Amino acid sequence: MKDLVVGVGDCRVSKDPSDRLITYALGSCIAVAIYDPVARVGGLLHYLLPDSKIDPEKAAQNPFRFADTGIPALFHRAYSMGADKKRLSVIVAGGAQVLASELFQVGKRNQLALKKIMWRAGVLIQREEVGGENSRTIHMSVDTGSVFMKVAGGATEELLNPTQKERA
Amino acid sequence: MTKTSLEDVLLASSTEVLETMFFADAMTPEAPQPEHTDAVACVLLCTGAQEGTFSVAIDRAALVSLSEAFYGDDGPPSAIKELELLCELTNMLAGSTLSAYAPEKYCPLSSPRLCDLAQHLKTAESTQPGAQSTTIYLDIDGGLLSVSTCLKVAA
Amino acid sequence: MRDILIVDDSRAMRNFLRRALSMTSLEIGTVHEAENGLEALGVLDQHAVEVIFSDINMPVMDGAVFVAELARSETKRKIPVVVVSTDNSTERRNQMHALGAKGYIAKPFSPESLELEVTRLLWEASDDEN
Repeated sequence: MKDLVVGVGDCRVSKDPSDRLITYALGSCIAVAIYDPVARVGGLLHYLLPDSKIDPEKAAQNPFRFADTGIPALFHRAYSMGADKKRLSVIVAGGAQVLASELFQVGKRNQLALKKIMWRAGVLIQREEVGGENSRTIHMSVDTGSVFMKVAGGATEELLNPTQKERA
Repeated sequence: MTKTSLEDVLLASSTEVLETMFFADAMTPEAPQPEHTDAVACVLLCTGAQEGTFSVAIDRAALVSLSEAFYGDDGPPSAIKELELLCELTNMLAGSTLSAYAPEKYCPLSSPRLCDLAQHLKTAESTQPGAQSTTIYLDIDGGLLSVSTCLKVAA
Repeated sequence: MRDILIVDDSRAMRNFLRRALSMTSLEIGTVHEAENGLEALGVLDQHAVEVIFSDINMPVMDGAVFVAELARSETKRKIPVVVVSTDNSTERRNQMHALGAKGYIAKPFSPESLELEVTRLLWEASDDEN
């Protein structure tokens, strides 16, 4: 298995079953992991801030820094590799308030931005591990779509093993 | 319950409604006496275990922002849809607050109706004996939201 | 595909629910709407639906009277009702469950929590059939 590291303000999408997508040290940042179990396409985004309006130039250079530009870009990359929106599992982690003195509540604003974008896109979140005060690391196996999370100082936990959603 | 408790409950309920259904980040304004700019307002009555009034005023630009988030459509909602949403927002804020403030017994709500800002400002001015009233202010994207209530325990 | 009925005097709320339900695992067919319980009874006289989502505070006929009326009909009482209301008081929850409501969602709610409630309802319904 080879690790594809997703940095801060970064995004990777893969359909190589030997890949593991991993991103570290999610404080107020949020990671969005998506997986289509039929096309076997997995994607991972790590964004810092909710709204690209504060710096459109930076967003044009790197859309993955912001929720409103990064999340659509993640999804479109996955679609271009054969993923189908209706089959996607979505897991979200991060959005912590790591400093008690933090004035701007970036973590919470990142969470709200994500929810707004998902609502507009008509996409449900299967599992979210957000808030709190601790940093998180998450990784996804492209082979199975399993997503694992480690909270600073804690054990690694499997968040979800996505299977095709059954429509009732 | 004390006045502070009603204010705390109103603030917590309002924040929860705004975050959950409107994905809106709501902050307490810095100015001690915030004022509305081009606001629209809505009022409803409650009966049952708690009798009283709830009213909401919101700057139009803030209502547009909430509407875009709530409806989630491409393109801005119509003015009618925005005002319908204001009525539903008032309903949600009132119901959510009452469910937290008086969780045991239900309090039927009247249909919300649009009103002018002056009527909204009167909501928390009641001097009825035994009544508690309060107003909270929240800065949201686009402008100011204020929620007022005056409640008393039914005889 | 399941035809459903949304009963709420707020068009904004009917809109929200319609959208949120389309995101859940419930395979939606036709969505009927009514502004109050009386209108909803009329819709049910014309159309078969599989699930009803109903508000409580509505003019003309509120949700409690509506659910009580459903219980008086041999056919209509079999349709599961999920209450969607800002009223989360203990008294109201108990009342609506006693009247026959199968589910209860308090506003404000996220689409994810609606999915949980819908999934639970469908599992229970399939358990009842078995």
